[in-house]
This record gives sequence, C-alpha cells and structure tokens, in this order.
Amino acid sequence: MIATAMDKTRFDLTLMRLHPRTMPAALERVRRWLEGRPGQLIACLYSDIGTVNQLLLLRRFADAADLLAERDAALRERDPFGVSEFSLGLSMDLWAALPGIPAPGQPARGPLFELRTDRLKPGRLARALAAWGRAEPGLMPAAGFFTLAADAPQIVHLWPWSSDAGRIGPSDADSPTDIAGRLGGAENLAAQRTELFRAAAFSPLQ
Amino acid sequence: MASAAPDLAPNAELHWVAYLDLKPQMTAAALAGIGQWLQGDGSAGRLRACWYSVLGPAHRILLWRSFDGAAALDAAGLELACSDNPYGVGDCLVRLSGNAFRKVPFAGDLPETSAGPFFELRDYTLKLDGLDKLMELWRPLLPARLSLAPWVTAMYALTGTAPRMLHIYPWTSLEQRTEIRDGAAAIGWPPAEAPRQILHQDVTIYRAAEFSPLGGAPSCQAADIRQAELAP
Repeated sequence: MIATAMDKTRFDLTLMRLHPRTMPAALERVRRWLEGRPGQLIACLYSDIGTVNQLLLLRRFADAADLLAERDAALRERDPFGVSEFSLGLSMDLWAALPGIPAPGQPARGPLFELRTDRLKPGRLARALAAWGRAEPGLMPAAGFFTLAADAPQIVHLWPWSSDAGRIGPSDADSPTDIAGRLGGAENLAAQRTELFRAAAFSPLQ
Repeated sequence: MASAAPDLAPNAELHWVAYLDLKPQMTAAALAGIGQWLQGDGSAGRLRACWYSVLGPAHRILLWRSFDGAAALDAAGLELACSDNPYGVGDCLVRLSGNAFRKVPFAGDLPETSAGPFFELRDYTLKLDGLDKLMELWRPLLPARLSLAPWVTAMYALTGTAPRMLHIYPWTSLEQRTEIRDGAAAIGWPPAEAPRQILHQDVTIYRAAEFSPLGGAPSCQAADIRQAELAP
C-alpha cells in the first residue's frame, strides 16, 4: 500500500567523511560546486557531535531518473563535489520522504540539527512506517526519509534545535526519546545512531 | 573533465545488485525462497545472476537484476523496501543491502549466459576522484586483458558507498584463475597506477544457483551448497 501511494520525489542525502580541520574549506568548495547544478538544495550541514568531520548534503529531485543522472555525472567528474583532496569516504543512498512529515525546507528552526539514523531489520520497513503514521501527534522532525537503495534498510530523520540546551536540557520531555515506539517497537530495529549537525551559512535549512 | 561516458539517459539500463547475508546453513532454503519469489509478481526486472558464496564472506547470496531505466529500478526498490518478506527468504536474513549500478561504458555487451562454474566478484571502494581515473587507466589495456579470458562485466555504483566498482570474472576452475591472473600481470594488467585509486578491495568467489542465467546448472547443486557451508 505504501509503495503505491508514494510520490516520485526522491532525495539525495550525501554524507561525506573529511580529513580533520578541512571543514571550512570543504564547505566553501561544496558551495561553489553546487552552483548551477540540478536539484534543489535543502540543507548543507556539518557534524559537531557523533562522527565529526562529516558534511551532509540534502537535495530534492523530481524523480529517481533526475537524481541518478546527476549522481552519475558527479561521480565521473575529475573532482566530485570539489572536495576530493579532503575526502575519506562517501555514501549517497536513494531516499523517499517519510509519510506525514512536512516537506523539508520549511521555515528555519535550527541552527542545530539532530540526525537520527535507525537501521532496520530486513523486512520491517513497512511495519515501521505504519507505526510512525499511527504515532500520537507531537514533536515532528524537520525532515524524514527511508532508503530505497542502500547498504542497509534505514530511516533517517532530522530534528531541529535552537540550542544545545534545547536538546539536552533538565527535562527530556521535549526530546524525541521514544523513536523506537514511533517505529513500532525495538523489535523492528537493528541499530540506532544519533548525531548533532550545524547548518552551513549557505544552507537553506537553518 | 568527466570521462567520455554518455550522460545517463532516463531509459538507460541500470543494474540492481543485492547482497543477502544469511544465517549459517540457510543457503539452500534461501535459494528455494528466491526461486519462488522470482516466479511471483513482486520480482520485476531481468534476472542476470543468483549466486552463493564459496570463498570470502560466508553465507552470502548475490542477486543481480537489470532494469530499463531509473523509473523501473525505483519502483522495484520501493516495492522491495516495503516488502515484509524481501526476496522471499523469510527469516534466513541477517543483513540485506541493495544498490544501483551502471555498466562501465566500454565493458562490452553483457553475456546472457556463462558456463562458470565459478564467478569472482571484485568489489572496490575508490577514492572520491578515482572512478574517472580508474576507467581511463583500464580502457586502453582492457582488450589485451580480455584476450586472455573474458570478464562478465564491470559496473559502478550510483547508490550506497561511492565511488565503488564491481568487476566480475567467470572461471572454469580456481587453477584457471591463478593461471590467467599470472598471465595478465605479464601484460601489465592491472595498470600500475590503478591501485592508487582504490581504498578497499573485497573479493568473493561464487557458484551459481541452478536457475541463475549466468552459470546456472542443475548438476550437483545440493552437494555444492553443503560443501560450501560445511567446509572448515
């Protein structure tokens, strides 16, 4: 059911691992590299807590054909993303939006963004998505996606925070703590990860 | 400058290569499930290969399907992602990955069949600027290499870890593999600069399921699987 109801919009969520102390230069190179390229830039973020020296690029494409054509062209360039000399590795899966999550790119609510990555057991995505749709209204992420092609079935969601204290304050009542519950229970999950990113100056999502 | 490969057209053939990592001693059951799944409505695309590992990562099945265009591949990926029984292998799975690939433009036509019976899959993770360089290094030497023995193909990833290159070779025996690889070194294959573009290499030797277009044969499969799973 979910498969047939899904629209064709696809998202490029590229995660680059970079050499330490190269982030400012890498962000400027990526900003220049993005000029005139296909796709709509939604966010460019860099990691602060978790695996540091990561650069996250989130772009929207009309469909998988547009996304894969742009990716194919980028990977065959002499200097993909303009950051080859800084790169330690890259992943770039094919993502669709989580049902019921507002379109990414809504008004700024950061500048901190918590990237939560939930790796699922094989065959559990439909159950997790159905549970997410049944969850009580409450805090909502700024964006959320699930993988169609990847090294593992995954859901990722970005939660905006105005400050560190907002995320880890005296009370966790406002924190997205029951992610496992929203995804139908821990039995659907293989592993979870949470990392804190900050928005680059040119990132539309702020 | 990008390599001379044409831009990816919307209807260009794309490939979906999945690794199914299984619980020990579940290969026969999983292959039976895949065989049934391939007969059903959920399995789109053209089956190229269904192989099980005999050297390298144990208890792994490789399933390779081809699609006419990104839309068809996307639809199949969505269907599979939302399935509660991907590939029909039920509870045999420990880990599942599936990624999209494009054939290297000068790799030649894909063979419809191959006798095998062994297939070597070389899975390389490249430096970020390594894909174009590796293809340009390979291109002039490839005819000489293929004059020694054919390959099945080479393809690069469009999803997952990138840049990433798969290249696949059929062998009549592991002795033949050693002989050809020694001969290839004598003609300068792989090119001397190629290893500098590579960050990580995985090599897996597979045999084919009986229903696999590439390498499939009914002979002795059950005994082969038992031998692959029970070998010390």
